[in-house]
Amino acid sequence: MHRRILFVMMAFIVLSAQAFSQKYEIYEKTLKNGLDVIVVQNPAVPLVTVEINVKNGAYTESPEYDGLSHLYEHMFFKANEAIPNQERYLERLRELGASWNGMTSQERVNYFVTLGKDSLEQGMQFMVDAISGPLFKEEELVKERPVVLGEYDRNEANPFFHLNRAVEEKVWWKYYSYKNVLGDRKIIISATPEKMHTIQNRFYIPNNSALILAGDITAKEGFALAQKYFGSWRRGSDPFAGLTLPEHPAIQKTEIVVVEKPVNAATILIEWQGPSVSKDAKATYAADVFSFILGQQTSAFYKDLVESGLAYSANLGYNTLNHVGPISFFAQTSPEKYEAFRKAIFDEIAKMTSGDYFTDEQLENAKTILAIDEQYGREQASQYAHTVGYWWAVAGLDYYLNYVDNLKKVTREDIKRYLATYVVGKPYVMGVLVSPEMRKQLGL
Amino acid sequence: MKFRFHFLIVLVTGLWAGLLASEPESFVVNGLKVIVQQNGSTDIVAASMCYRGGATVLTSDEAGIEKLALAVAVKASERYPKDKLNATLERMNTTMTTSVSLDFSSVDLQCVKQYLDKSWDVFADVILHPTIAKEDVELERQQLLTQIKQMYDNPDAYLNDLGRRAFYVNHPYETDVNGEEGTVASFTPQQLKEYLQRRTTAGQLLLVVVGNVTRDEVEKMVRTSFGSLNPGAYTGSLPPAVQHDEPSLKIVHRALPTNYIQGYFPCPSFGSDEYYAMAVAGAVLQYRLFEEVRTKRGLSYAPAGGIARNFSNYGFIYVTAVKPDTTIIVMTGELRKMIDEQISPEELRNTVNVFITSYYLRNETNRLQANLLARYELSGVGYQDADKFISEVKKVTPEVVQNTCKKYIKNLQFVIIGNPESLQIKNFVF
Repeated sequence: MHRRILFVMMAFIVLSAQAFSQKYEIYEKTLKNGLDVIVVQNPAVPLVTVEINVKNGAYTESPEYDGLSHLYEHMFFKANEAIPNQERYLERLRELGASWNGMTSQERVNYFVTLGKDSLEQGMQFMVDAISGPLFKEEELVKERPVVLGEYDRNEANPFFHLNRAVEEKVWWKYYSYKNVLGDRKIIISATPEKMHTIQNRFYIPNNSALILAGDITAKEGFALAQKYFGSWRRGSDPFAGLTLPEHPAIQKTEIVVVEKPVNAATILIEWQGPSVSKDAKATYAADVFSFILGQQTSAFYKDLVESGLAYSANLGYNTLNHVGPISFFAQTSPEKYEAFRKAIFDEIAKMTSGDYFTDEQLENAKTILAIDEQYGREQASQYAHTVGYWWAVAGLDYYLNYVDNLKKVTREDIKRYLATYVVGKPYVMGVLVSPEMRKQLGL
Repeated sequence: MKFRFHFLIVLVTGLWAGLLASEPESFVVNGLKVIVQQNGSTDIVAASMCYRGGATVLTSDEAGIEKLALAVAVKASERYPKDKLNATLERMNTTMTTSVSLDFSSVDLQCVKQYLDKSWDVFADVILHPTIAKEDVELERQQLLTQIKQMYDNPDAYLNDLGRRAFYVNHPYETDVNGEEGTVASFTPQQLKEYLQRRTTAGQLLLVVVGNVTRDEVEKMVRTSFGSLNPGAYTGSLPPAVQHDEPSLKIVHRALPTNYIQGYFPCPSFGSDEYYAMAVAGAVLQYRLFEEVRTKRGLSYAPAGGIARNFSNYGFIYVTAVKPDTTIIVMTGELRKMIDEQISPEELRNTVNVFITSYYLRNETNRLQANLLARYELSGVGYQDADKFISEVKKVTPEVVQNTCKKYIKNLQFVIIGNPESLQIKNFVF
């Protein structure tokens, strides 16, 4: 067991020679059973968010488990060894005055309740019961399948979902199930309690999880409660021992995919395979700084593509992941301007590695902006718990705690290397979402 | 050493907890009402300059004019031409955004305390002296037109729009504050400029500031920047309540994998005496719909019920379902129970507990607090009532909830987007 007190990056951070004070801190401790406990102290309102993060999600899903991390997340809110069924489960949440939910993403699944400080201990008991003793009753699984499919239907009703899926299927062409959070309908319909238990036994163990307590709570209180309620949660074997997570092979060739839906604007999504935290952390910092430079209205990118009137909106971003994060360009334009805009995008990308694409001031501003964004993010403790949990899962807490310091070290050369390694001249997949009429008009 | 450190933190934290947010207070500068709430929990400051009236001050020909005018106003001003404005805000990571709603619009500032003075200077200049350049108008116009067109691409956004039109018939809210394609395409830069000049008077504005800033600091800034504002009064009135004499159903056919359904009923206006009882009823309805539709029957991922926070208000039930008849029968059955049966004291107590948590969650940030204070003040209730929410909700009884439901839940106006294979209209008559 080790224990650290972390005056993390924002505690007394120096930015642009100015000091910003931060009035809440992050504390971390690992229990004997391997559970990481993170306390974020922010007493602005008398609430505490109790959040459990698990290193699970699409990246662990072979084709026969495609979508089951998400189904598992739904089953978390059902019967367990302490609570006989979902009706009683939900009633208990109301008794506690809790606001609650769960989310599944590519490399993290989280569950959270936010409740009044007076109900905190009961909330801790509730969460440990739910995480450590789910029953996966057959009848509850049967009822939940159509609910998950209902979520699937809602996604399919959104035209952007189809664009995203069409592009991602080609970007992650060999092992798509390991990136597909929503999953495969057939797998969801045929899911069994046994498969749920397989996921539980492998991933839902303290040494693959983090407990985050955020809000009106001190580190001393948080650690004591964590030990009291989660200390006896039984440690498991290393979940990733003997589990081979496939390496996503590079995109073989540039491809263009057209998606037809009844839409009113032409949407372009271009994706490249970007860096992985564990293999090229330096590039992930460069990617974030570069994306922030482009996101500002003073950037050449904004002026050339949006202010010029070619597009309604355009952005380029990188999604930090440990198992190859995508770099995405997303923009919308009219069918009349589509051709000119398409050409302008690639002209813009070609300019990105030139020495004067951004100024020194823009580079420094981007670092300041990212740091103050952190401060804005911390204002809302209930949401900030999700942020901390995400970073813990995909990159490790140390990555996050040193994030701003590492951003400050990013140089022009780092950005140039990032672009040369992952974007400029690299194969990509470009998706175009248009209506049937636009497709005809544009000859796509 | 570590123990001592923790002891210090506990003491300091205890002190903060008592000092985090003071009672909001107000003052008037040359006709401009200003509400200030000091909040020492962060170094972030939020300020909202609110324009009273929302949809009620717009004619149908002016649909979207306030949205477009404000969006252009924050692009450039007399002392801050576009590039200078962008560079200034970026250096500080100050954000200046605009929003419109049925009840009021606002220009919203967020910055860190250290940069408040510099940020405020930009904030005041765009409000008082916006440039409204032709090229900025054209850029924002195209973006707004795209948003309007894309609303039809998103079933939830389209459903909301259809619902508003079905519910607020012959009502000021019928005018779309987000604009119509025809109106937005027609506004000239000169029209926008004149519109903002007409609207930027002390009586039509309300300024709310929340953050680690004192009343004296705010008053000094306001006197310097807004002290000579034209005092012109606000002559508008609150929108009337809605009443429907019969139920209705509107279906828009579209090939979707599920059906999007929403039914509307009138509700007490935001902040009124009956509002709290109806808000509790809406929360009870939400839990019951979730339990009956999703948990017990697996009919939908997303059943919902509740009430809005408009000055002329509505309640609703909402669902996406592949079996609309079966689902809506269950949902209207729950509406019937709300009318015919009293909720138990336990259910009421639990609902209030969750409500209190939700209330605090809605006030976690200074920006959210500023919005809530503005909403209470502009609704006519008064900003002082913003912190009475918890005590008012605690006063609600099962009897009052039932009586309020009896009075309001009737003549639902339903809208559906989808492609139901069959539909029994009688199931949607409530």
